[in-house]
Amino acid sequence: MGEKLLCCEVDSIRRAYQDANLLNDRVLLTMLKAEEHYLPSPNYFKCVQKELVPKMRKIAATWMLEVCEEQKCEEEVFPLAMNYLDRFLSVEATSKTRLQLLGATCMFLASKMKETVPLSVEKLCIYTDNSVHPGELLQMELLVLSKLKWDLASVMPHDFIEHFLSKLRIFPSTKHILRKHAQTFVALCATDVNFIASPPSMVAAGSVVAAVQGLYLKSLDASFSSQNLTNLLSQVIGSDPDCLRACQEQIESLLESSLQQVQHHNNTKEPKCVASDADLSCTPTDVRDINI
Amino acid sequence: MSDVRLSNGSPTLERTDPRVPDHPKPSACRNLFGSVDHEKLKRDFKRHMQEMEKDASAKWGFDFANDTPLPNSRFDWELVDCKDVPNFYCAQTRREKGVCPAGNNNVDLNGNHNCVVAPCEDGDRSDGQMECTEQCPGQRKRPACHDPSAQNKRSHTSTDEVICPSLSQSAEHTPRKKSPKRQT
Repeated sequence: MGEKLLCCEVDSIRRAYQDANLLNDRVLLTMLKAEEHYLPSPNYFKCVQKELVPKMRKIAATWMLEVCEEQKCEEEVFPLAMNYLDRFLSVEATSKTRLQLLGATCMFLASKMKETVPLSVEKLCIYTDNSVHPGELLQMELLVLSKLKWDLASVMPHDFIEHFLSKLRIFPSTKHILRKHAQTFVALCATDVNFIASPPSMVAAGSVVAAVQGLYLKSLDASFSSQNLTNLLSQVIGSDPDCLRACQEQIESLLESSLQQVQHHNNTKEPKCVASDADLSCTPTDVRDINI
Repeated sequence: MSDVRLSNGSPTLERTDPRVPDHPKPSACRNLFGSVDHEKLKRDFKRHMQEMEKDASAKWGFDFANDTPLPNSRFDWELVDCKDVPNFYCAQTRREKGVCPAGNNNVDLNGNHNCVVAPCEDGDRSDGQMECTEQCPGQRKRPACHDPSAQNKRSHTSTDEVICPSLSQSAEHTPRKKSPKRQT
C-alpha cells in the first residue's frame, strides 16, 4: 500500500513535480486578481469578535505552528490554516474557549488540502490535550466549510514565491535556500496580526526581498541589490516600491522581535524559529534550513 | 458523538494515522484557553446544522431530513436506482447512511456544490425554470455523471475497493429540472 510506504519514508515525502507551465504571467495575473477574494476582514477583532483579542490569536497561532512543525507538515499548511481561521473569525463571533477547536479544525482542513497524508482528527485532538473531542472537530469542520462557503482554494504567499523565484537568475541550490527562508518569513507573518490584511503577493514579495537581504545574495549579482529587487518585484505584483519596502521592513522587525523572544525562552523551550547564534540580524536562518 | 458527518476525504474516526511515528510531544499538547463547554457546543452545532439544513432545503426544494421533495420545488425529483448512477454517488450514500443515520444530509452540498446552481436562485420561481436551463448549461452535477473518467478519479479517493455495498442498492433521489429540454 502506498500509504504504508509513505509512512516509513518520512524523509522523502512524495510531492507532485513543479509544473513549469504554470509559472507564467497569465497565471500570475490571475492569482493577483483572485487573491483579494480570500483576504480576511482586517478589523474583525473590532467589528465581529466580542471576546477575542489579538493576543489570543497569537497564542493559537504559536500552538498551531508548533503542531505543524512537529508533524512535519508541508510549509503551506500552517499559513493556509491561519487564512481559514482569519476568514472564519471575519464572519463568526467565536468564544475564547473555542478558538483552539477552530485552530485545530483549520489545520485539519489545510492539511487535507495540501498533503498526501493529512493530519488525523485523533492526533489533532491529542494536541489540544484532549480538550476537544474528535466528533466536535468534525462538526466544526462542517461549520467552517459552510462559513467559508466551501471555498478553500485560497491564494497563498507560497504560490507567489514560486513565481518570484522563477524570475530570478540563481542556481537551484541558492533558490532552494531562498525559498526556505522566504517560506519561514511567510509563516512568521501568519502568526502576526499586523499582516492579516496584507495581500499574499505583498507578503511573499516582502519575504523574498528580506530573505535575499538576509542571505547576502546581493554580493552575487547586482540585480539582487535591495533596490533592484524591490523595484522588480513591486512591478511584478503591481504595487508601489515604497509599500513593498515598508512590508519588508515590517517583516524584518517582526523577525528581530520574535528572535529575541525565542532567546528568552531558549532554555526552557525548543525554539520555533531560530537563527544561527552567530549574527542574528542578518541571518534569518531557520534551523530546519541548515541541514538541507 | 456518533451523529457526525464525515466530509469528503476525512480520515475515519477509526483510522490511526501513522504518518509520523513519534507520539506528539507532551509540551505541544496543551489546552490553550480553558475547558470547552461541551454541552453548549453540542447545542450550538445542532443549531448551525439546522440552519444549514434549512438553507439547503430552500435551495434544492428537498426535505433532506425525511428524504422527500418539498411541494412547489423548482426541481422535479425522481427516483433513480443506485445502479444507474456513478459509483461516486453510491459511495457517498453508503458512507453517510452507514456512519451517521441522523438527518443532517447537507453533504449533498458537498458533493454537488450548491454554488454551481447558485445563479438560478435569483430567478423568479414561476419562470425560473426556463431561465435555469438556459443560464446554467454547465451545471456540474449531471455532466459529471456522464464523464466516466472524472468520476472514476473521485471515487478512488473516497472508497477503495468497496463499491456499492448492500446499502447502496437503495434507490436514490436525483434532482431533475422540470423542463426536460436538456435531459438526454
